[in-house]
Amino acid sequence: MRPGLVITLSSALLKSYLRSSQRASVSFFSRPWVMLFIDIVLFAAPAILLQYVVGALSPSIIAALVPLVLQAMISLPVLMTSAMIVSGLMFELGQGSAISSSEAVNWLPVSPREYVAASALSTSSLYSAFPALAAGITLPLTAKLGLFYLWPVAMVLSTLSLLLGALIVEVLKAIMNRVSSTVYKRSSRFAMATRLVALILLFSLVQIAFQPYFLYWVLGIIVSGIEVAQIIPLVWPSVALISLSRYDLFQVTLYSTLSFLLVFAVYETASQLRRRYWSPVPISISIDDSGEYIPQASTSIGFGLSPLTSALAMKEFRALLRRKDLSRFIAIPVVVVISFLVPMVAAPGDMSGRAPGFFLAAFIPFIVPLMFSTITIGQEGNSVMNLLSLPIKPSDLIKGKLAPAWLISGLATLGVIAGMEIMAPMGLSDALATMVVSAMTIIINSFIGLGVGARWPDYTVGSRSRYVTMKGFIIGFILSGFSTLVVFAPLGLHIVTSGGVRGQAPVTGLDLLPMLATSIFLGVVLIILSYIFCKRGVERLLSNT
Amino acid sequence: MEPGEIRGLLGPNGSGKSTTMKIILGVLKPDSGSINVCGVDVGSKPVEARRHIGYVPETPFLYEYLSAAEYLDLVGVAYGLSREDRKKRAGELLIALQMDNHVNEVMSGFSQGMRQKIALISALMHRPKVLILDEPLNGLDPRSARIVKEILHRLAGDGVSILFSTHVLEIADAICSKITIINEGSIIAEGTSQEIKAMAGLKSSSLEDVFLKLTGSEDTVQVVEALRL
Repeated sequence: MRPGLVITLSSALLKSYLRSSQRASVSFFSRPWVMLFIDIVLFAAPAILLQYVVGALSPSIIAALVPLVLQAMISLPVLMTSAMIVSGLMFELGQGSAISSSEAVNWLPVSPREYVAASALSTSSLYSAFPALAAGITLPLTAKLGLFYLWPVAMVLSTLSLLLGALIVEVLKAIMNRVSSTVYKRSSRFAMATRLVALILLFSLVQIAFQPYFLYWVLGIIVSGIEVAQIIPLVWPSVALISLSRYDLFQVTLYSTLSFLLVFAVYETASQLRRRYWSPVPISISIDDSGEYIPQASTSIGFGLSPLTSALAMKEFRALLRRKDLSRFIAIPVVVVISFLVPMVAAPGDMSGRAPGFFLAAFIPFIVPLMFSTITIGQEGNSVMNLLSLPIKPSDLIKGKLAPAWLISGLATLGVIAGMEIMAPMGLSDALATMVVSAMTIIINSFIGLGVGARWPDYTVGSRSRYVTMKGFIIGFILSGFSTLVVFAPLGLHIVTSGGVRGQAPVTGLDLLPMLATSIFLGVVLIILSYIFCKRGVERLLSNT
Repeated sequence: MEPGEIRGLLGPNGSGKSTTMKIILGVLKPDSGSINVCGVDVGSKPVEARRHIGYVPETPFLYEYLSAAEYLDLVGVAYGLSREDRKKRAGELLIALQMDNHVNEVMSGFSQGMRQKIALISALMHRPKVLILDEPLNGLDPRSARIVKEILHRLAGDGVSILFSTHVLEIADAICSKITIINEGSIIAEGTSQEIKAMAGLKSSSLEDVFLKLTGSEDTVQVVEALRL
C-alpha cells in the first residue's frame, strides 16, 4: 500500500467527479480544498448559531431536549452509513468510465487495495458535508445539555461509519462489474427487464426508507432495543454510543473495536472482489438469436405518427429501457407517487377530502412530461450528430421525441387518478375533468420541455447527468410550473371550494362545467404557445448543424 | 519476444489482438497457459508485471475531467517516479508530441489524436522494458506519427521489447522486426516479413496481399461487385 498513490488517485477521482457534475472544466467548486472549506463552514455556521440559540432556552426546554439529542447522537453513525449506501446506490454505481472506472487505471501498477482505498476515500470525501454538518449541530447542543462526553466518540464513529458505507458501495461496485456482464451475456432482454424492475424497486425502497414517518419508527427501535441491535454489525457504532451513554466502558471498548474490525473486514472483502473482478469481461449483448439482419416493417405505430417518427419514438423507448443512465428516469414517476402515498397511508386522517387526489393528479402532468421531454435531446450525447444529419422535419422530430413522454405521463396520470379514486375519491365527474385537464397539461409541459431541451441541451452522458443545462432546467421548471398552475387553477378552485378540503363548506358559482371550460380554454391557448416555443427551439437545433 | 524486438501483431477485426494484449497486462485471464514479463508471472503478480510495461490501448480510457498534467502526475506516481523525474520525463515527451501547450487543459475537450498522445506519453514516462501498443498511431498527425515511429526504433535499440498492433500493413512491414498474424484467436503465421511472404508463396507481393490470403479475405473485388455501388 502506497499512501501517496492512494491520496493522488483519490484526489483524481474526486476532481473528476466534481468537474463532471458541475459541467465546468476547472470551476472554483471543483477543487478539493474548496470542499474542505465548505465542510468547515457547514460545521462552524450551525455551531455558532446554535450556541446563541441554546443559550436562550429555558431549563424546561433544555430538559426536554436531552433525550432527543441523545437519540440523535446515537443514531448518527447508522444514519451516516445508510446515507452513504443510499447515495452510492443512486449515484455511484452507474458512473461512467470518464469519471471513476478502474478501466482508466487497470493497466497501471495499482493494486486492488490501493484502488479500493482511494475510491472509498474519494466517495466519502464527496459526502463529508454530512458529518461536518452533524458535528456543527451537535457540538453546542451536547455542550449545553451535559452530553459532551458523547460528542468526540460520536464524531469518530460517525466518520468511520461514513467510510464503512463507502466501502460497502465499493463491494457493490465490484460485484456489479461481474454480475451485469454475466447476466447480460446469458439473457439480454430478460436482464434488461429485471434491471428496470430492480431499479424501480430500489428507488421506491429508498424513498420509503427516508420518509420521516419510517425513519422515526426505525430509530426508535434501535435506541430502545439495544439487545436486538447488537447482532446487526452495521449498528455496532451506535451500540458503542448507547453503552457510553450508560457509562459501560467495557461495552464501549468492545463495540468500538468491533466497528473498526468491521470496517477492515469490509475493506478486505472489497479489495478481494476488486482483485477478482478487476476488469469487466467484454460482452456483446444479443437481442435476437436468429443471427441475421431482418429489417423491421416501416409502419407507423399509430397516433398519427409516420414511419420515420415511429422509428424515432421506438429508438427513444429502447434508450429508456436499455440505457443504465436513463432507466432511473422511469423510476421517478413511481417515486413521486410513493412520496405522496406514504404520508397518506401513515396518517390517513390528515389527508381526507378530494384535494390530495387532485393535487397528486396535477403534480404528475407537471413533473413527468417535463422531465422526459427535457432530457430527450441531451441524452443523445455525441450521437446527436447522427440524429441531426437525418432528413427529418422539426414536426416529425417533435412527435418522435415526445411519444415516450406522452405515453409514460399519460399512463402515470391515469394510474394515479384511478388509484386516488380508491384512497381519496374525488368523484367520477371531477376525476374525468381532471383527466382531461391533465392530458392538456401533459402536452403543454412536454412541448415546453422539448423546447428547453433543444435550446439548452447538455450532452454530457453519465450517471448523474441532467441532459439539460441548469439555466434550461430552471427556465423549464418555471414555465411548466406556471402553465400547470394556470390550466389547473379553475378546476382546482372548483375542487377545493366544493368540499375538497376538510370541513370547508362548498362555494357557489364555481361549478364544474364553467370551471372545466375555463381550464380547457386556457389549456388550448397554452398548447399553441408552447408548441410555437418548442418548434422554434427544435428548428434552431436542426439549423445549427 | 526478445529484448529489442518490435513485434507486429496483425489480424482482422475481432481476431483477438486487443484481448492478447490485455492478457499480457494481466487485465484479462487466459483460458490456459501463462505469461511471463521480465521474469514476473503475470497471472500471480499482475501489479508487479505492470511496473515493467507501458501500454497504449486502442481507445484510451482517460480520466477526462482531469487536466493532462494531473493525469500524467497520477500515472507517474503509480509508476513510482519521483517528482523531478515526472517533471523532466513528462515535460520532454509533451514537447516532443507538441502537447506542451495543452498540458493544463481538461482532457474532455481533447481530440482523438490528442488523447492518443497523452496515452503514449503515459506509456513512455517510466521508461518501460516492454511496450504494448494497440494501434498507437490512430488519429496522430503525420509529424507525431513519424516521431512515434522514431521513438519506437530508438527504444528497440535500447533493448525495449515492443508489441505493436496496426491495420496499416505498410507501417508493420516498415518497422517490425517480426510479425505475428492471428485469426479467430490462433496464430496463423509468424516470422519476419520475408519469411511470412515466402510461407504464403507470395515472395514478391505486398504484406497486404499476404495478409488477405492468409486470413481468407481475398474476395474484396467480388464483395464490391456484389454491392453494385
